[in-house]
Amino acid sequence: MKGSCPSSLKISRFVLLTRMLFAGHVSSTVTEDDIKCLKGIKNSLNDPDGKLSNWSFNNNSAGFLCNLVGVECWMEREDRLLSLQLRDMKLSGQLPQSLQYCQSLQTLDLSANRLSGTVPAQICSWLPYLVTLDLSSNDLSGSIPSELSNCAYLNNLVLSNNRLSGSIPEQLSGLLRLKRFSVANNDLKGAIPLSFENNSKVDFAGNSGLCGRPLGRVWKL
Amino acid sequence: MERLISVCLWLILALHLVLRVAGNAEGDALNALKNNLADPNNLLQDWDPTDINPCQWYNITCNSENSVTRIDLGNAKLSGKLVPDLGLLSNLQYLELYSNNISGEIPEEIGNLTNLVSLDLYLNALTGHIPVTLGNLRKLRVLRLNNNSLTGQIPMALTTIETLQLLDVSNNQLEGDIPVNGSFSLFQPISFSNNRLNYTLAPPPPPMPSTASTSSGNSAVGAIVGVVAASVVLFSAPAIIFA
Repeated sequence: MKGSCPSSLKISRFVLLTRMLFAGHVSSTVTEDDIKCLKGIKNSLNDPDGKLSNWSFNNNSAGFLCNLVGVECWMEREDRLLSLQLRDMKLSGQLPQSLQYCQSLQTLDLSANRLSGTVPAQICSWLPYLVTLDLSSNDLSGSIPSELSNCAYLNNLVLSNNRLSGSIPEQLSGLLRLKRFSVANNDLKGAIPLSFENNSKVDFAGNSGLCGRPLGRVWKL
Repeated sequence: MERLISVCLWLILALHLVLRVAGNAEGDALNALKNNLADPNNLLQDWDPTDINPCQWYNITCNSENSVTRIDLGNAKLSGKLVPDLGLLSNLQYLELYSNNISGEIPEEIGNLTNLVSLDLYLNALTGHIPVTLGNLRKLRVLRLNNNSLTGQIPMALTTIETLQLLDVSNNQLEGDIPVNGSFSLFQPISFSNNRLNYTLAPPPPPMPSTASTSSGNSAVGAIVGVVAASVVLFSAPAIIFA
């Protein structure tokens, strides 16, 4: 029926079940190589303010990556990234595929930059152990990939303040550890999946085509 | 009047002596640690138990009240054992003893260090269990016990530490279940890999090429566990749909 938010109760639970069967079984076929990962990121992104100027790959003593700006390692003297936080650096370009070599990454925060293109559908096969993914306040477009449901350990998914379109995938209901979720201020439409019915309105505001209980709008005219 | 003055002077002297002794309690605890460690590089040679306090000692940091807040002895080629006296350092925030060759068990008295924010004992030769008392470390943010020979289970008490942000118990011989509740929602298979834990929903990651772990068939075992887990979920499907 035109102009209404459809009830998606049964569909939601079925999708949840099928997603549960396959969640967490994503494995990468590449070997971890965090140096390759960061070299690739530096080469792919434009860095007009030189915020990554201390990213030098010349003197490669063990654990040197751990001193690079935005990098936290799992342990001292081992080049294995725990988190990458490059917030508010005017970085532009698209999310680079070389991220897949940082397989131990738990936190990826690229918020408040000028990244464009889409949220890659493969991001959860690149980084299967992500706990926090913050791509907010960028210039990302396209839809939210349903494959984000493969990031089984995701606690925080922040995609607000972009130009994401399409609907919020039902499959995101399969993210059993999700605590913080925001898609505010995008161009999303359609029904908010039922699993988010108790979320705050703030997480969905600024999407004129979106409807659902958090927005107090079950029927859209 | 003279009597009053002399009484006051004696009291001040006595108080001074008491304070000197009290100030040394932390120095005594650190000295007990020094006596239990082998220190081939002589890093601890300036740890002098007759000092008023240990605040000038190598790699010891104190606060403005001369109470120890940090022990930084990572990568120091130390061996020997930890001591229960460490539990007396009530203002300790950082216990950094990683990448040494320290053996023996983790003293349960470390659970008394209620100001601890970082406990790094990784890359040593520690044995025994993870003390349940570590659940008392209500301000702990970092707990890295990886790359030791710890056995037993992961204490559920750790899941109640709300401040915990980084956990690594990988590369040990821990068994039992992996908690996923409370703060452990933040931790994924990497934190638990290379143990004897019950890996249910997801297989642990393959061994990292750069670590010195000698595990072999984890991936194959993990795949089999994954298929079994999927079958279990499939058979419980009706219950989930109609719940």
